[in-house]
Amino acid sequence: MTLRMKHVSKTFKDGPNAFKALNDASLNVNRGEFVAVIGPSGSGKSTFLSTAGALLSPTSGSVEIDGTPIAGLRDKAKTRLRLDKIGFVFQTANLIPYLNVTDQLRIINVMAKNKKRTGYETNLLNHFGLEHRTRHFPNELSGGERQRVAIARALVNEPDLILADEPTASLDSKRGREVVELIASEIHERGKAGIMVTHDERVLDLCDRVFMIKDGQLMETETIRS
Amino acid sequence: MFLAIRELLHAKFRYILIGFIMVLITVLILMISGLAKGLSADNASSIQNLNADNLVIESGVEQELTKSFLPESAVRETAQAESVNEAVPLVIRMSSASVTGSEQQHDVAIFGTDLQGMLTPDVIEGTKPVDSNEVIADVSLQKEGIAIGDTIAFRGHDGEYTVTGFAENQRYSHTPVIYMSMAGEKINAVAIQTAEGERNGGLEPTYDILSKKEVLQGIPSYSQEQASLNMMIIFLFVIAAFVLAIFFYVITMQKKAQFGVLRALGSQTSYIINNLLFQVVIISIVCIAIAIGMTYGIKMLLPDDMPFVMTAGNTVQTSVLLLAVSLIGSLISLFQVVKVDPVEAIEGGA
Ligand SMILES: Nc1ncnc2c1ncn2[C@@H]1O[C@H](COP(=O)(O)OP(=O)(O)OP(=O)(O)O)[C@@H](O)[C@H]1O
Ligand SMILES: [Mg+2]
Repeated sequence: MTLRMKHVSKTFKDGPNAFKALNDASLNVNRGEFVAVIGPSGSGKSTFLSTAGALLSPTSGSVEIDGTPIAGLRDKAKTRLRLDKIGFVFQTANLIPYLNVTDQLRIINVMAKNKKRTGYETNLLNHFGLEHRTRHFPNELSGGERQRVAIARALVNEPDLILADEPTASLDSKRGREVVELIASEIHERGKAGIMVTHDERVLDLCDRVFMIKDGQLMETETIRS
Repeated sequence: MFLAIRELLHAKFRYILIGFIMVLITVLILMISGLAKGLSADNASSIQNLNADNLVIESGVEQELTKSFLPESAVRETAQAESVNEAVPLVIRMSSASVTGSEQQHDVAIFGTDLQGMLTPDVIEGTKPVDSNEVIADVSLQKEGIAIGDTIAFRGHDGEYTVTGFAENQRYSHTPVIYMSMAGEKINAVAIQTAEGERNGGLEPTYDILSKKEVLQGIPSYSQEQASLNMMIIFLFVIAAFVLAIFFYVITMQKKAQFGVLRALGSQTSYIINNLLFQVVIISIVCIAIAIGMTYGIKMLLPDDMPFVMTAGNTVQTSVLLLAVSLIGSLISLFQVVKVDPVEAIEGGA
């Protein structure tokens, strides 16, 4: 079991008001499993993903990543856990503007002080059809290329868990589908666990399970699948 | 420092701009401190280099050497004090000198003393005087056209004197000093060499005993000159700190979203801070090095008689201080980095 979330709630305190953005969410994701999370805006999707990715600490409940409960971890250890075990793909590619494509991947290994993966970076870029773009900077890439670089970056640390928050939001539907296909095949072929938050219902057929969030409540849905 | 170097290279223009400002400020600091040192030497190198531990002067004249008047007997009296090893008289007169047969007047400061005593400076050219009508002059008078063997007369002073040698670094109140023997006059001070650790052992309270530092402060215009220049230097340091602080603050604010992404991807705060500090240090060191080079270049172009002194020690001190000031200036940016929240990377647009 790569991700195990049990009765996770997240309350945001805003002065005297408290707002429950995530309410008793439970979810297990296995290796090779690709889970989609949909829901209206403000329903708590990003909060859910941040909690699953050790970016936010849950107010109650427990989150385990690869058998490690994150509740007991200090900030530094959580950061290290993200570096070693999690790959993030953000809504906008969020590449570092002054790094070329190769360096976008290398920075992860530099931070992890891992020199062994150098060949892996090149393989990934070739695999994603980016071999002619390795010296380019983000502003010289198309939106689809940027998102592909971001996915390659999420994979370069060989994570167990891939978390994507609306990875297709900045792309047209054709490019968007290609990107989700890419993520799905990586998850299935390399045996990772994956969660993707999306608005785009047309890509749900690429996912193994679909969850819906409404007002912070997470529930599995079969009906949406066509 | 993977990130720091790549960013510096990628955003060359903005870093060159800030570097340019830093270089200019640093040159200004080095120039003004060179000038401060130069003026200080020009005003008082003769006192700074005076071969004496302390000066005994009349009490109640507020450290002003030229306002102090002692009878010649004070020398003998002082010499008898237990801790005093040697005592010689010192008379200071501002005057002007002219070489016999020439109309040209040279402003000079006459230091009257016992030329066989300890105050007589070493000559770098010529010989020490033997007769009472022989004198040593500061070497800057040589540049004004006075040569060894010339006979000169002083305004307000009888007799003719022969220059037998030149000494280095003997200036007082922005004029060259001439050492001559003086006897039977009212003197301004008694220069004393004291036993180790002693200051005023056994001397009458009718005298004030000043260290050379205190005497310097008493030279008219000396402390004002130094204070105003030092004030400028301090302001420039503050300006440098602020310019760098603001620059890095603005840049860090711009990069906050980026830092959020890095943090989400698993970068420790310390990694980002190290990269930022590395940039500050690199920029400062490069700018300081360029500025030192430029200041040396400017120094070469300055006229010879311009009071400008640039010592290695002073330059190193200024450089280290500037580096420290730059790092202090980057502190507020570090606070911004610490506050970066990786959650913002989710959904946030960098
Ligand atoms: N740091 C915070 N402090 C207070 N309230 C917050 C905070 N973060 C999120 N919220 C609130 O929690 C709720 C869920 O936010 P979240 O970002 O998870 O929504 P979302 O489903 O991702 O929405 P969208 O589809 O627009 O991205 C929102 O009502 C939001 O206002
Ligand atoms: Mg969201």
